[in-house]
Amino acid sequence: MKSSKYYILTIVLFLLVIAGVFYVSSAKKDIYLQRGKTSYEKHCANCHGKNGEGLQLLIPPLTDPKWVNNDSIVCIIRNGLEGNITVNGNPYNSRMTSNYTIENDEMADLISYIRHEFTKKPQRIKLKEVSEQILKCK
Amino acid sequence: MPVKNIYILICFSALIFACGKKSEPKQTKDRSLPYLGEPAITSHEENGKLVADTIYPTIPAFSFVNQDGEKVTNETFDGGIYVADFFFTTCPTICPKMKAELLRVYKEFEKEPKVKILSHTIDPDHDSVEVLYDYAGKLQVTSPKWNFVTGNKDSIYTIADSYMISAEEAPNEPGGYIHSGALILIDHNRNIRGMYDGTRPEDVDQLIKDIPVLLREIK
Repeated sequence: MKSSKYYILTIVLFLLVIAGVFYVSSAKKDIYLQRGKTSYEKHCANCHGKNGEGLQLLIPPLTDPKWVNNDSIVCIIRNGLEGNITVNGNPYNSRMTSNYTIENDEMADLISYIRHEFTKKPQRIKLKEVSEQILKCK
Repeated sequence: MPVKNIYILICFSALIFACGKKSEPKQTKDRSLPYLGEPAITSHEENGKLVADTIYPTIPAFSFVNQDGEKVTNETFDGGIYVADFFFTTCPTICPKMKAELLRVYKEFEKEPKVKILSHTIDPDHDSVEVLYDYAGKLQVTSPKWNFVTGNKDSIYTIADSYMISAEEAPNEPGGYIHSGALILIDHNRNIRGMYDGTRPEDVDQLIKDIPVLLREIK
């Protein structure tokens, strides 16, 4: 009787430790996504929607990896976009405004969040990559 | 068997929490919507006695042009109710969110001809009939359910006042205008019966619940 009690206790403790390890590692991973979420809701969600769904044929969704997983997304966020584009096979031509107030580090969190939330194969973008890409923007 | 007891306790409390969380929804049956705006108090004589009348403000007569180049007046909405808002097509801030929320209202009442939507542009210099036609097309909505109207700038800003909406040109703001994101619910007598923040989904949920309440008043 006594040994089975210890047995259960050991299992419970073991599970707790595993859960703890998972929690800590996921919390670490979540910090930049959390910052990205805040930034997304401040700068993007009004038009592109809380879940990146866009608005009919007025505003494109953020689910097309062709656009979102391309590093040129840095330039689009910074300088805005105008003209005819195709997203997920649909035509759009509304004007997107520029965002000069978003710093490079915030931009990295923001893009990582968008990729993580709205595309199937998320690729995190690092600050260094954002800074390099900014120099290439026209 | 203390462990068993604890399990039973947990199950019971979970059950109680699950039941307690459900709040009673207010039935549309016995609900009525308030009249908004500053009422004018007048009086009339009845059997030799002075009786006070409370008259709530109404939306005055108007005439604008919609995305299909058709005239839209107060008579367009006779016998029904409508939701009004103010926006402009190039608005980079709250408008897309308002339109996404209004789209929910549109879809919810798509088959109810007594419910319409009236979106006024506050930038008629830019938002011509053609621009509004293009905008409505991309939003994938049509008149007569959803009218996007343009017209004389002064008339639009004057009517905004009647809807208790503030809108003005502001060159320093993104897009060049500031305006309220309110959705205004107007009844079949042109009285104002509801104000909702068109950028808050909870507010628009309430609007969707209020519309059937107001519809019951017609007939």
